[in-house]
Amino acid sequence: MIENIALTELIDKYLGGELKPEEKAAFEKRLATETALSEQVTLHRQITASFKSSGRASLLAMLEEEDAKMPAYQEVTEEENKPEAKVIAFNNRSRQMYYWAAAVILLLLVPFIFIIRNNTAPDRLAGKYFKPYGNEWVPANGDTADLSTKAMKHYEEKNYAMALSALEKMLGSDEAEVQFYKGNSHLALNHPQDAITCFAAVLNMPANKYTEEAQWYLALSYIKAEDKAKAKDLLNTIVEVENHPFHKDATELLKKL
Amino acid sequence: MFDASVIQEIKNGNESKLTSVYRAYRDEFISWAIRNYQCPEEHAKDVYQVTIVIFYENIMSGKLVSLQSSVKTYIFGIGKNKLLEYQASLRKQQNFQEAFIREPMEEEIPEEKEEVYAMLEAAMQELGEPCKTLLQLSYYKNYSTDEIASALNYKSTDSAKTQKYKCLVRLKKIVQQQASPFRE
Repeated sequence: MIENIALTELIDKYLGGELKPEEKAAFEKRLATETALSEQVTLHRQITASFKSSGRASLLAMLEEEDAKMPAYQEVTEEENKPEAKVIAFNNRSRQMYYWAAAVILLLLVPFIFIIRNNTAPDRLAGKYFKPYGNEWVPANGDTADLSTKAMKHYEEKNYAMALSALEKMLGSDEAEVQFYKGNSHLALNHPQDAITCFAAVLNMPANKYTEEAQWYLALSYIKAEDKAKAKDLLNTIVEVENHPFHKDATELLKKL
Repeated sequence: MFDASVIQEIKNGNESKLTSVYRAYRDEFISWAIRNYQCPEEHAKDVYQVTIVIFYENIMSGKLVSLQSSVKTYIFGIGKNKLLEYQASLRKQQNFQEAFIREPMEEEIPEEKEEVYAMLEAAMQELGEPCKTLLQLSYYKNYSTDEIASALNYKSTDSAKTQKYKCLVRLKKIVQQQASPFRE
């Protein structure tokens, strides 16, 4: 068998282009005369090719699966892509014309600016205030410690879909943490309804480390879900508590709603 | 995202890094493809997935070890070529991803394709685990026998080598048991 293993390795090296020129020449000489060897090489070549094809197919399937967990595609404009604006040099005459053109455009835009200010898309507003909560989970020792560490690693890497699937497996333990970080992951993935369910669950539990935070994130979820009334109620509750960790943010956001 | 560590981690088998890369540039890539190559959104996504697979293959084969530019620039560079190939595939009325999957086999099996593809696929199905994973690691992911031993918990490199050989023999036997155009 050892000889056969060595022959397999030789074929692998030949097909992988890893043989030295003299080794390659000697091997090809054998191929020309040994029909059985030549057939072996052909079959080996076809088998490796089919593994490459099936490898591609499974990787594409994995990416498609990942894609299904992502928020729907949103257009990214060319401007958003450009890190720096281009600098254009003007002579005096064209600079003057440029100022006039800019003034006219600005005047035309004034009514629209007012409209936009008064109708800030709630979704965008919530997005502006939403920052996924930092990882403050100290896992309890036990069977689920590994799972929570794994979930939070994905969470910290902003891999929210993976974090969610790990968190789903943890229900029944560390309820407040699981629901709170699930809510954050849903919100990051733009699933406000699911986020609402999770944060509401935290608030239904006896007061815990995440109660105040869950109020704030629940308010943001309501804004994203375009339920302004409930969002305002919650924000008012937060504003009433002077030392609430989100007191300042809630006051500011309330004015903009 | 630190580009150098991304490449190293993917090379070490951390596939979640690859999906992070996929997530990071998907929307930007699709927007760019729609804008510059008149590629519909759904097709742009297909091309992007193929681009990420090539990025992965280049890392695993050792072709991409470090980058002069960013991961993003590199990916968009591959993507540009793939978008041109996509446009050509439209003229040939081919499914872009299917053609990409079959490309390695097309190179090796120029004739009697369908029959041979079907037979090889059936043989791989019949092969079962752990052989399928082992040979996949070796022939698609370019793992060395050392790396296979550690990924699949074999006691030593030698036992991984023996196991690989046994799996190959088994697969060849399955293929040869079928009515085979190979033996002609």
